[in-house]
Formats: sequence, C-alpha cells, structure tokens
Amino acid sequence: MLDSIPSFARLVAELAKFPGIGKKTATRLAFFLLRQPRAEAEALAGAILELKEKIGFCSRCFHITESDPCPICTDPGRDEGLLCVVEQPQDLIAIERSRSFRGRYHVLQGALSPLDGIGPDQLRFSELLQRLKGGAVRELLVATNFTVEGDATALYLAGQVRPLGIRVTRLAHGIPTGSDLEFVDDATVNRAVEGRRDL
Amino acid sequence: MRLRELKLQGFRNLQDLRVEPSTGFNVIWGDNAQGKTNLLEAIYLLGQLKSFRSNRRETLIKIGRDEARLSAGICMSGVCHRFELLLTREGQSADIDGKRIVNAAEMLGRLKTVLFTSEEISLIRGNPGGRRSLLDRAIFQTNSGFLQIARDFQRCLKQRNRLLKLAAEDAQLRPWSQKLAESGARLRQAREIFLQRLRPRLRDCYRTICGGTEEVDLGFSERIGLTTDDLLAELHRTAARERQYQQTLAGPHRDDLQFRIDGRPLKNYGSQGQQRSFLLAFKTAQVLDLEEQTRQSPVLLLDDLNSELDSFRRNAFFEFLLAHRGQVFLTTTDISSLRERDLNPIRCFEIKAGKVQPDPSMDS
Repeated sequence: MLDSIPSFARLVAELAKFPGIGKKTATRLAFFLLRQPRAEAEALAGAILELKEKIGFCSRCFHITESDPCPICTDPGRDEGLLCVVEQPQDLIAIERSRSFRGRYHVLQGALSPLDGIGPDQLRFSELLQRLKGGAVRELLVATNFTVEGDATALYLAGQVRPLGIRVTRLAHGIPTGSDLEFVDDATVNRAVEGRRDL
Repeated sequence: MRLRELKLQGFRNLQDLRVEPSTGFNVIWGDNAQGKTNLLEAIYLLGQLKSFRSNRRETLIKIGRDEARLSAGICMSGVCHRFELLLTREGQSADIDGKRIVNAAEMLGRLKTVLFTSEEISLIRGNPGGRRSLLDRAIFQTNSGFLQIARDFQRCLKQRNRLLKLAAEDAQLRPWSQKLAESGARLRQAREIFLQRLRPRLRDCYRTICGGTEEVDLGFSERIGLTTDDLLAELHRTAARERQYQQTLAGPHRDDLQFRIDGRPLKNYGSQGQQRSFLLAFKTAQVLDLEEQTRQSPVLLLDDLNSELDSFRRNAFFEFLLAHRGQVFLTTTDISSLRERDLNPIRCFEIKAGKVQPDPSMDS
C-alpha cells in the first residue's frame, strides 16, 4: 500500500530500523512528522546530522564527547585516584545521574563474550592498563553489568589489575532501594540472600 | 491445580475441540493412533512450553493450518486463569489472562504437570544427559530460581567452550572458569538439595507402589564437590585434557546421575520390570514432593500406563491415584478394566480419528 508513496515508505523503512520500533510504530511516527511544520522536521534532521558530525569518543576514557578530552576527564574537581570501569556510555551516564561517584571513568565499549568474538583486544583494555600504569589510580571500581559476561569481564580485569597493586572493587548488587521485597524477582532475592552482610 | 476447560485449534491431528474435564479422573480412550497422547501433549505444552515428544514446533501444527491455538482455564489457589499458547511456524507466543507474556519464564511451570510415560524408560537406559534432564525438569517445578541458575551455567559453559576451541591463553580462560565453577556449584547444590528430599520418598514409593523388595537409590556416580572451590579443583585436574578435546570436561553438564538398585546401576543390572517400577516410583515421589513444596497438587498425565503395569503394581498405583487429591488425565486403549475401578469423579472422552466425543454413559 505504501509503495505508491515512495518517500513515505522510505521514511517508514528507515524508522523501523530503530531498536524497539516495528513497522506499525514507524508508520505512526512518519504520520506525526508529516503533520509537523517544516521547521520541526528540519530541526530533527539537523539534530541527527549534528550528532554524527560532532560526537566522537574521548581518547582518554572512551565516553562519547564533543570535545577531546571530554569534560569529565578535564574536570579538576574529580578524584584522580578513583577510576570506574563501565561497559557502555549509557552505564556511565546512569552513575553520573546518581551523583554518588566523583572519580573518573573508563568505558570498555563492551564486555567479554567469546561467542560473539569479543575478547580483550576488541575492548578498551590495553588503554585502561596504560592509564593504570600511570600510577595515579588507587582504586578501580568495576561497574560492568551483572550478567554472566559482565561478571567474567570484572574477574578478568581483577586478574590483570591486582598485580599492579591497585585495589579492585565491584558494585554491590541485590534488592533495589525503595522496593518491596515481595515484588522482587526470585533470582535477585536469591543473590541478595547469598550476598547478605553483617549489621 | 485444576484444568477447568481446554480448547484446541489446529493442534496435531485433532479436530478443533473444547472439553470441560472432570476435577478428578479423565480417561481418554480409543484405538491406537487416534490422537489420545496429543491431548496429553497439549496440556503438557501449556505448562512446559515445550513438547515431550518433539522439539520441532511445526510438527505440532495440523497439516494445512497456519497456526495452533491452545487455550485453557486453569484454577490454582482458588483463582482461575486463562492460559493461551499460539504456535506458528515462525515462533510461539503466550498470554495469561489476555496479557502477553514477554518473558517465557513467567509462564513456564505455572501449570504444574507430572508426566508418566513409558517412553521415559529410554532415559533410564540411555546416556546421562537424559537422566539429568529428568532430574532438572523435576527440580524446576519446585524451585523457580533453578531456571536462571541453569541458564547462567549453560551460558558460561558455551562461552568457555568457545575459548577452548580458540585455544585462548590461560589469562582469558580464567575468569570463565571462575564463573563456570560458581554457577556450576550453584546448580549442583540445587540438585543435591532436591535429591536429599526425594530419596526417602523414592524408597518408600518403590516399596509400597511397586512392591519391590530391593533397595533403590539415586545419586551422582562419584563424590562430586558442591562448592566453587571443588569445581575449580576439578577443572584444574582436567585442564590438560580440556585443551586436547577443546571442551569443558568437568561440571554439572557431565555429572552422571545414577539410578541404582541394590547398589548397582539400574541401567545395566535392572530388569525391564524393575526399570519400569523405578520410573514409576520416581514420578510418584516427585508428585508427593511437589505437593509438599507447593501445597498444590499437580495435574497428572498418564500415557498408556495401564498396559505397562502388572496387576499388583496397577492396584497399588491406583490406590495412590485415588488418594491423590489432584486432577488426573490418562490415556488407554482398554477402558473395560478401568470401568471396574471406583474412580470418582470421572469423565471419559473417546477419541476417534482425532475427534473427541464425551461419553455420557461413563459420566458420574
């Protein structure tokens, strides 16, 4: 049906490539854009192009940035001795949002997964080791995801970093704050019981 | 746990049907190859999301149809739910009470069934994998966390095996060995906890239901360690051979669950009759354990068991069934012997060429 309106069909096809967006939602979005004033469409198109033109990876921490090194790496108010390792930029953003960490970061850009052909060489491991050999870091906080792959990555890191005499810590995990125990899934409760602590 | 209504469309050889089973006994009878077991399979599928006969989804869809739709009204703990399963050649989707289930684990095992089929004798006789799966499926029904434990372990195993295939260096293998040992130890512990509960029941059931005088037992063949450190030590011992065979050689995926009779492997030393009795005792013990753990009676699915059992075992087994407060579905070619038993309440369904007709004469 859309074949008779090629420009519309093309937009739908492009939008449907987005994660979590199927053909139905893509069609809805396309109709929405069609109704929008031209300036709005131009603003969106411009924003997308600007994203591709301006954003790159920080050469120090490999977070996404418009300036290299990134504002976090150049912020003088941060503790040089604390380094937090995450898998992806969005993980860094989640920790920043909490305002609980005032050290610096290193984004691995993935986790170890031999099945997907991802080993240390495919991640920003050697760059991390270089940074650590600089000597300023006292503690490495490993904040990779709590998946099988994230855990294995953390263990690999610990094995590589401990010989350097740097303390390696891991994010705690268990029951989410502010949640009722009764609504937490079994596996999480299980882990929380296993990882219980003295009061 | 009760199945109040079952609706099947486009499933196997069955004509579209809707039945309201009895809360007690449901006898599905008819000649061979009419579709009796297909009805049991449909109920099993609604609980396990997987067939016990075929791993190929397309074989479940009736020839000439695009999809199979299974729907059931199920009462558990006083609440009735509607379970729906839609099978297409591309995939399957599940709804509970009209809401789409995104994570299959939410539906898996909610409808608890225990299947009795003589086909599972081959698991006792066959390779260790079959016996492990018999055990793991039983554990999963009492321990919902077990699925995640098993999945984590399988994932670690695949990742580690890939590294062994790539002949990766030790530093890369080490974190996966650690994760494999952690998740593997958790898996072994869950199995051991279940076995400890099941053993006394198994002995009891073997004696009372099967009339066996032999001592029966089940357990893993050698002393396997239950801690992460134990498993790490096992991996350490097999390290050189692992490099050679390029796969993980120690862990719960290799543990051999032995069914033993008078201390010897049932597989090699048990007669056919003893093997059947053992399986029957295992399943019966599983039902009793499940009732104690979940405080609900599972739905029992008995596939053509009548013809399998000699008369003594049949009597004791029917005593167990009559004492069992849950719902029972059984298939048989020989309805006359069932008529003599005081099964109550009962409902009979005759199946002829895939068509189901309730038989009013047997309804009570």
